[in-house]
Parts: sequence; C-alpha cells; structure tokens
Amino acid sequence: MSLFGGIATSSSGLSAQQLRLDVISNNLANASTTRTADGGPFQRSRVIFRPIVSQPYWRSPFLPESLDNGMGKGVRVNKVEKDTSPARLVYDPTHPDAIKVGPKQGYVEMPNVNVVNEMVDMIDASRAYEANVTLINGAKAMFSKALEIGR
Amino acid sequence: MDLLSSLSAQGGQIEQLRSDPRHFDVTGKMGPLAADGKPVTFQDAMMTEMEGINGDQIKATDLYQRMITDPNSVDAHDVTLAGAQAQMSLNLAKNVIERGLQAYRDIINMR
Repeated sequence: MSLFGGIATSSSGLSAQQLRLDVISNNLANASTTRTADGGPFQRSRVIFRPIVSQPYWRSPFLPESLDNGMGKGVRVNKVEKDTSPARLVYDPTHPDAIKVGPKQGYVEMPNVNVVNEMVDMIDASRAYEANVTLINGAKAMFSKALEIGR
Repeated sequence: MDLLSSLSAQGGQIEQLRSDPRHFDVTGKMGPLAADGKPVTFQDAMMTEMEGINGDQIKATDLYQRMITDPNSVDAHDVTLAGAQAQMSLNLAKNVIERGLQAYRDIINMR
C-alpha cells in the first residue's frame, strides 16, 4: 500500500456510507408517499455495496499464492436497489388513493418503509462513517509518529 | 571497487547512482538502469516530488473553493481529506529537507 493507500480505502467507505445515508433519508422522507410516477406506493430503496479489488481478479479455489492480488482497495456502491416487498395496507376509504373495487376495497397501499428500521439503518450508517473517520485519524497519527523516528 | 570520486559532484548536483537493476528507481518501479546511462539527479528527484506536493496543495485549494462557491458539488469529507493529505505530504517534504539540511550542517560543523 502506498502512503495514502489506507486513507483512500477509508475515503471510499466514507463516500459509500454518505450515499447510504442519503438513500435512507429519501426512504424516510417518502414514508407516507402513496402516489409515484411508476404507479402504486413508494418502494423503499437500499444500497448494495461491493468491494473494490485489484484487477485482474482470479476466481479459483486452487489459486497459487503468486496470483493472489492481495488486499482490497475499499468499497463501492454496486447499485441502489428497490425493495419489492408488498405494500403495507391501511384502511382509509376517504383517501383519494384508496382501492376502489375488489376484496381490498377501502384500503390504501402505504409504502413498505418501516420508520424504525430506517432509523436503525441510519445509526448503522453514521457509526460506520465514524469508524472510517477514526481509521483515517489513526493512519494520520501513525504517519506523524513515523516522521518522529530518529528525531 | 568503483567508489564515487569527488570529481563526480559537479555544481549543485549530486548524482544518485542506481547501480543495481533490482533497486527501485524514482518512479518506484524496478527496471533496467537508465537507457542513456544518465542517472537521475537529486535535483530531478526533488523537483518531481515537489510537483506532487504542489499538486496536492492545488487539489485541496480547488476543493475548498468549490466547497464555498458550489457546496452541492463536493462531499465534506473529500474536502477535509484533501486538506489533510496536502498537510501530510508537505510535512513529509519538510522533514526530508530538514534531515538533509541537518546532515549538511553536521558535515560543515565537523572539526
């Protein structure tokens, strides 16, 4: 790893957690959105992460030691995926988006966002961000200690 | 034995001789010795590093300016990280130069 390698790795973690927090705030902001451009209620999104690995990356259980491309280089966001789990039904016949006909008549399809789960995810994201900041500060402290060698 | 003579030090330039191809060169890579047979001078190595440090400073300044003029275009942590990185690389350069000067002073104070 280069001089700033560890810092670059932690920096990718910071950006990823930042994006995760943005997605969580979008979910929370739309926690009661019943009407979307796609039709139907809002569906919560979640962020899928992938590690950044050095290329070429060999996938084999019988890999010789010399071909192993060492430790990873951080994390990146693979995609922001929609959670397609069924909508929450709330009985409210006066709501303009209430289902008009059928066995579910009078029910409103509410987003599948669970506010409590989103809050827990938010705590997770901000703690992970803090962990990455702590790592960067640790790397900085190690660097400045290294400069003191032989003084 | 092929020792460096005092005649090989000319002007302000001290030649950094890389005599073994397995040693790293200025770019941090192993490779054959310089094709033209001309070793990299200390000045060249120093100036290359200085340009890198200057690049870090410029990047940090640029990000700070963007933070002020267009806050939505940058992440806060990218700005502070660029600042920290510029500070770290400048500190390293400062230390290297200080050590070099100290060695020089130690030599001229020898008596």
